[in-house]
Amino acid sequence: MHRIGSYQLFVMIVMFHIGSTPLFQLGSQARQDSWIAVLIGAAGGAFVMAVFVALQRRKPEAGLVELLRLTVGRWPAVFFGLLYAAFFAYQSMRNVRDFGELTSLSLLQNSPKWIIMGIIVLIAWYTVMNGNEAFFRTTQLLFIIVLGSYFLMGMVVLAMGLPDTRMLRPVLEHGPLPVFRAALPDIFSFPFTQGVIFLVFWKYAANRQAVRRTAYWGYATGAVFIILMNALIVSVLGPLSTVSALPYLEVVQLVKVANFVERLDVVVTLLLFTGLYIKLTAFYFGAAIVIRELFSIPYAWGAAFIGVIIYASSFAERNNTVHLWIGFGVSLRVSLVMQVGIPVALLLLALVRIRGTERRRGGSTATEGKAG
Amino acid sequence: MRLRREWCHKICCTLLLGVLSIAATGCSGRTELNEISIVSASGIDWKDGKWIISYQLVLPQAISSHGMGGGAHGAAPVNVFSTSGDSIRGAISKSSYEMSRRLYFPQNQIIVVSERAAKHGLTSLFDAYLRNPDSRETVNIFLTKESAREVLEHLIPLEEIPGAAIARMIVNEENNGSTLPNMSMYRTMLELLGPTKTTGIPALEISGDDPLDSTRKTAKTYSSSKIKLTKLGLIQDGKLIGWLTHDQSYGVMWIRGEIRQSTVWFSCDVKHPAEKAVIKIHHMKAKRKAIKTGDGWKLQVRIAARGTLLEYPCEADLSQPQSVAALERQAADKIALLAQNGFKAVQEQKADIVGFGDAIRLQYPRQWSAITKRWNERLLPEATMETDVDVVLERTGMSTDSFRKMQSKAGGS
Amino acid sequence: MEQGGIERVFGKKKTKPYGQMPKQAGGKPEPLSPGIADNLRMLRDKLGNSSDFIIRTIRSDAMPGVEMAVAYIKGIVEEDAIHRDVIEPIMSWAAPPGQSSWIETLRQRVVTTGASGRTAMVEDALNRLLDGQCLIFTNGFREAVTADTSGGEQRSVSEPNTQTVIRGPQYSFTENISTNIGLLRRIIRTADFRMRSYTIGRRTRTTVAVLYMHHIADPAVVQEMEQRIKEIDIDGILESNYIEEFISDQTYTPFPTMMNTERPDTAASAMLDGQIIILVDGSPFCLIGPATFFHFFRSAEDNYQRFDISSFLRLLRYGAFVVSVLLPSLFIAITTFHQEMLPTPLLISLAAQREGIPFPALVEALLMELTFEVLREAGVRMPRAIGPAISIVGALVLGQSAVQAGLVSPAMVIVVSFTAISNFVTPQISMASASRLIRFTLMLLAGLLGIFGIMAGVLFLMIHMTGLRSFGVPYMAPFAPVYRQTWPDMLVRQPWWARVFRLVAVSGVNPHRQRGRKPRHQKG
Repeated sequence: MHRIGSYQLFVMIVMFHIGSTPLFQLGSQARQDSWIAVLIGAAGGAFVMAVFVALQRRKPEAGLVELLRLTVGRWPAVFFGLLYAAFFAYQSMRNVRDFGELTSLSLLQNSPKWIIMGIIVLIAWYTVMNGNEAFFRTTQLLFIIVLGSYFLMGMVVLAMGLPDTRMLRPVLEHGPLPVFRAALPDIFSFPFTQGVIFLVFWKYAANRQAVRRTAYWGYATGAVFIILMNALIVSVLGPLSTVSALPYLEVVQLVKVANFVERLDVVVTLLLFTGLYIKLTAFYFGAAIVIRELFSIPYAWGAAFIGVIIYASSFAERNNTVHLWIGFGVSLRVSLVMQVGIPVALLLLALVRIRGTERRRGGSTATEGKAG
Repeated sequence: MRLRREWCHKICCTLLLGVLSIAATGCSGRTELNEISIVSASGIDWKDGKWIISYQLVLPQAISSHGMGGGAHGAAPVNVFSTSGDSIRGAISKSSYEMSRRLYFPQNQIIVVSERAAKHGLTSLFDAYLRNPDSRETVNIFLTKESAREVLEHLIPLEEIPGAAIARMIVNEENNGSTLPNMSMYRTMLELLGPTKTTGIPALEISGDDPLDSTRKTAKTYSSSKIKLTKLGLIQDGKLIGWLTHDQSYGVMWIRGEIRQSTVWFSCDVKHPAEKAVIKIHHMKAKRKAIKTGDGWKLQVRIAARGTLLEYPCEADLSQPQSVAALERQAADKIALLAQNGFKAVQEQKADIVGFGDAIRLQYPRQWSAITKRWNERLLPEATMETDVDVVLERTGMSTDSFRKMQSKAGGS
Repeated sequence: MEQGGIERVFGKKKTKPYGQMPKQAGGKPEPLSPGIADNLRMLRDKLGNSSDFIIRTIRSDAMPGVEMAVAYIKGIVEEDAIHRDVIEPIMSWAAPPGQSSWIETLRQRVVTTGASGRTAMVEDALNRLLDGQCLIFTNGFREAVTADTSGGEQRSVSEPNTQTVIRGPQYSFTENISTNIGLLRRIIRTADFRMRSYTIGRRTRTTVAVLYMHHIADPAVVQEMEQRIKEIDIDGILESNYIEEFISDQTYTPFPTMMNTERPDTAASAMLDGQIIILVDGSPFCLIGPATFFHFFRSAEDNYQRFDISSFLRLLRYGAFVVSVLLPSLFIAITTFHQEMLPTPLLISLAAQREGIPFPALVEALLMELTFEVLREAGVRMPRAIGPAISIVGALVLGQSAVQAGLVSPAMVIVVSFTAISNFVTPQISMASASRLIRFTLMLLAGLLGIFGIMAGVLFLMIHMTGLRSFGVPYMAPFAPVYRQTWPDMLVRQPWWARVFRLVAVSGVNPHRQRGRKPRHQKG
C-alpha cells in the first residue's frame, strides 16, 4: 500500500466527516437551535477524536488490528477485529442503502434500486482493488468539485437573499434542554465520532508526526462546515426543514436567478453521490484492510467477499422507514459502543501496556522507551 | 481454439444486443420529450364534494418557430382540460383517461385556487406539494373568485404562455407597485407554519365580458377582457377567511416592510385637495416592535422611506428646504394613514399578517407561547398601532418649479 | 512518499507467454572462410540470389595476384561513397600481400569512409551488409573489412504534417534515425545529451534509440525504460507505436501514457523537462515518456506565443476536452431523464423539435456520432481531388437534409458537431482518440440511467486515472498527488521569466530550471 501525504489525509478527513450530512438537517428536534445542537455534538466528538489521535501516537506504525493485538492479546484481538470488520461493513451497507433510497427519491424515481446500489458497490470495489492511492487521490479531485459546488450554491442562495436570520431567532426559545437532548447521543455518534475508521488508515501516512495536526484541522474544518450548512438550511426553510426528507434539495429548488439559472437539483444529487460514495468506500476499505490483517488471505478475495456481503445485506431492510428507524435507534447505540466505548477502553489499556515510542524524558520510562 | 472463439463471439453478441435493447426500449424511467405534455399552469376547484383540477398544457409546435411542418399560426398555444376526483393526486392520476401523454409538472409556473376550494381548506394541497418530488415549491399561488378553469383558459396578449405570463405579472407587480405580495407555495407554507398561522394570497380576476380564449380574439388591437390582480385573500389554518382590498393590502405591505418600489400620492395643497403630488419610493425599511401595554399589546412601526418626486402640481418653491420638508411630512402622513387603514382591516378580519405576532415572539418568547392560541381571535382586535414614518425626498426630478407655477409666472398675471 | 519525492512503482510480476517460441534460423555461428569465392557464394546463397546484391571484384595493377572483392547491397548504400571512398583508394593502393596486419592496414589506411570495421563471422557480415555497409574481401584472409556506406534515397527534412504551428520551427523528424538524432543534437548542444541505441525486432532489426538529459532525467526511470525495451521480443518493429504498446505501464486503459511527436523542438523541450525520448528508425514519430494527463494538453505553440493568450487557449483546451467527452451524454440525460433542468423556453423549443422524430434520443445520438466517425475516416482516405466534395456531402446531406427529412432534430446535429469540433482541439491525437471511446460509453450510460449513469461513469474514470501510472509517475500529478510548485504550469502558461520549476512530477532530480527573476526593465 502506498503512503498517504498529509494534504491527502486532511482532505479525506474533511470529506469523510462532511459526507452527505450537509444535505440533511441534524438535530431537527431542536428546531431553530439545531445548529447549536450540532456545535455541541461536534465539541463532544472532538474529545473522541483526541482519543483516536492519542491511540495513534501511542504506536504510529500500528493500525487498528495491531493495536488490538498489543492491548488485549492475540485471540481477543481476532474477536474484536472481526467485530470491527462487521461494524465497518454494516456502516458501509447503511450508506449503500441510503444511496439507493435517496437516488430513488430525488433523481431516478423509476429505476430499480438494485441497479443503482449494484453500480455503486461495483465502483467501491474497483476503488478498493486499486489501493489506497486511487481512493485518496480520487477524494482529492472530488474535494475540489464538491467545494466548488457548495460554494457556488452558497453564493447563489445568498445572492437571492433566501436566508432570513429571523428564522434562527429567538435563540434557545425553549431553553437549552431540547438542544442537549438532540445533540447527545444522536449527533455525537453520527457523524462526529465515525472517525474511528481512520485508525485503520493512519499507519499508511507518510508523515506520522503530522497526523495529529492533520486530524484536528480536518475535523475542525468538517465540523465548522456542517454547522454552517445547518444554519443555512434553517435560515432558508425555517419550520419546513424538519419536515423535508432532503432539506438542502428544497433549498436548491428555490433558487431562481436571472430567469434561466434554476432547477439546479442535479448539483445536489452530485454532492449526495460523492459524499455517500466516499463514506461507503472508506468503510468498505477499512473492513477489507482489517480482514486482510487479521487473516492473511489474498487482498482481492477479502475485498470481493466483503463487497458481496455489503450488497446482499443492503436489501435486508424492507422499506425506507425501517431503514431510518434502525438507523436512529439500534444503530446509534451500537455505534456509541464501537466508536467511543471500545476506543476509550483501548486507550486506557494502551497507556498501560504499550511502551511509548514518544517518551524522551523521565527516569524509569526512559529505559522503557529505548527498549520499546 | 476455434470453438472457444465462436463461443466468445456468441456471448459478446448476446450481451451487446442486450445492452442496446435496454438502452432503446426505455426501461428505468426514460421519457422522451415527445412523451410528456408540459403543464404551465394548474387550477384547483371544489364542487359537490370533489376536487376539480384543471391543467393548462403547452403546445410546443404552436409556439416555437421550429415546429415541424410550420407552426400553425391559427392554433392556440395552450390547451386546457380538467379532471375531478376525491383527492388532489387522485384527480391528477385520472388524467391518463383523457391524455395521450404523461403530465409533466416541474415546469408548472402558477397554481390558481378558486374561492370555494380555498374555503374548503388547502391542507391536502400543501401536503401533496411537499411530498411529491416533481412539484416545485416555487410555484406562484393565486386565488380567484370565479372558477379556476376560466382563468386558465384566458390568453394574455403579447405573451406566449399564459402561465408564465401571470407569474411574471406578479413579479412585475411586486417590484414596481408592491401592492400585493408574490406568494410562492413555499412562502405560503412557511407563513402558515409561522407564529400566527396566517397568510395572504393575491387574487386574479377576469375583467370584461368576453374572455380571450381563442387566438382569433387576440388578433384585434384591443382586448375585450383581461386578467387582473385584484384583492388579497386571507388564509388561516389552511382556509380562506376574508379579503382585503387593494388599498388595505397596500397598507399591510407598508407595515411588513415589503415595498420594493411604489408610488404614493397625496395632496400637497389644502386649498386644492384634488391636486395630488406623487412620490416614487424606491427604498424603504420597516421595523416592528411589540410593546406590552397593561393587558393588551401595541405595535410600534418605524418606517424609513426614500423617494423621488414624480409629479408636482402645487406652487411651493422646491429649491427651499422647507418646502421639501413639508412635502416629506405630507407624504409621511399619507403613508401612516395607509398603514393604519391596513392595520384596521387586518384587525377586523382577525388575521395577523402584519408580523405583529412574530415581533412579540421575538421579544417576549415565553409570553408568546402562552398567548399563541388566543392571539388572532381575541388579542389582535384590541391591540393598537403606532406609526413613525420618515420620508426622505432625495431628488425632485428633472425640473424644479412646477409647470403650473411657470405658467402663472410666464403669463404675467 | 507522495510529497517531495516521487515514488517509483514498477510492476514486477512474471507473466506467462501465450504462444510458442518462433523458429530460429539456424544453429551455431559460422566463421568466414579464407577463400573469397566461398564467402561470396555463401553470402549470395543466404541472400537467396537477390538481384540487388552487387559484387565488384578488384584487381589492382599495383598488387598483382591479390584478389579482392567489394560486396554491397544496392539501394541501401550511397554508391558515390563506395566508388570514392572504397574502390578508388583500394585501386590506388600499393602494398605487398603477406603483411600480418593486412586487414588492419586496409581498414585504417586505405578505406576512407568515416566508420570502418572488421568482421569474421558470417552472421555478422550478413547483418552489416543488410545495414548498408559494404564488405571488402581479400582472398586468403578469414576476415573482411567493413566500411559504413549506408545511404540511399531518403525523405528530406520537411514541414511537419500533423503538429503544425503558426510561429516556431517548421521542420519535422524524418524516417532516418541518424538524421533525427542530428536534428536534436543541433538544438541541445551540451554533453549532457545522452543516447543509447538498441536493435529490436528479430527480422527487422530496427534501431531504437533512447535519449535523455543526464542530470535532469531520473536515472531510475531511464533504467526502467531501457530494461523494458530490452525485454521486447517481436518479429518486427515498424513504428514507434509497437514500442509504445510493449513498454506502457498498463494495457487495458483508453488513456495514452506516452506522448508522441514529429517535431524536434517538442522533443527537445521534453528532454529539458526531464522526460525521455525514444526514437525508432523508420518512423518520424518519437515517443516521449513519462507523460501525465496534463502533458497531453500542451501544444508546442504554447511556448512560442505570448503567455496570456497561451493560458487562455490552454484552459480552453481543457474545457473542450470535457465538452467532447460529456456533451452528448449530458444532452441525452437531460432531455430524457431530467427535463426539469431546462429553462421553460428551451424545453418548449426542444420539445417542438422532437415531435415526429422516430428514434429515441440515445439512438439518434449514436447514429449521428457513428455517421460523423464514418465521415472522418472517409476524409482521411479520400484522394485529394475529391476532398471538397466530401465536405459538401457532409454538411448538406447529413446536416441539412437529415433534419428536414425529420430523421434527426436540429439540436442533436448541433450537439454532435460541436462535440466533434471540440475533439479536434486536443493537441495529441492519442488523447483525442481516448475521448472518442469514452464518449460512447458515457452515452450508453446516460441513456440507461441519466445523470446518475454519467456520474458513475465519470467517477469510475477518475478512479481509473488516479490509479494509472506512466513509468512510475502518477497520471494525475500534479493534482493528485499534490505538487503545488507546478500547478501554475499545468493550468496556464506562466511568463518565461517566471517558470522556475521543471515539471517536478516527471523528475525530481533537478527541479529548478532557472532563477526566476522578473527582468529588471519590465514594468507591470
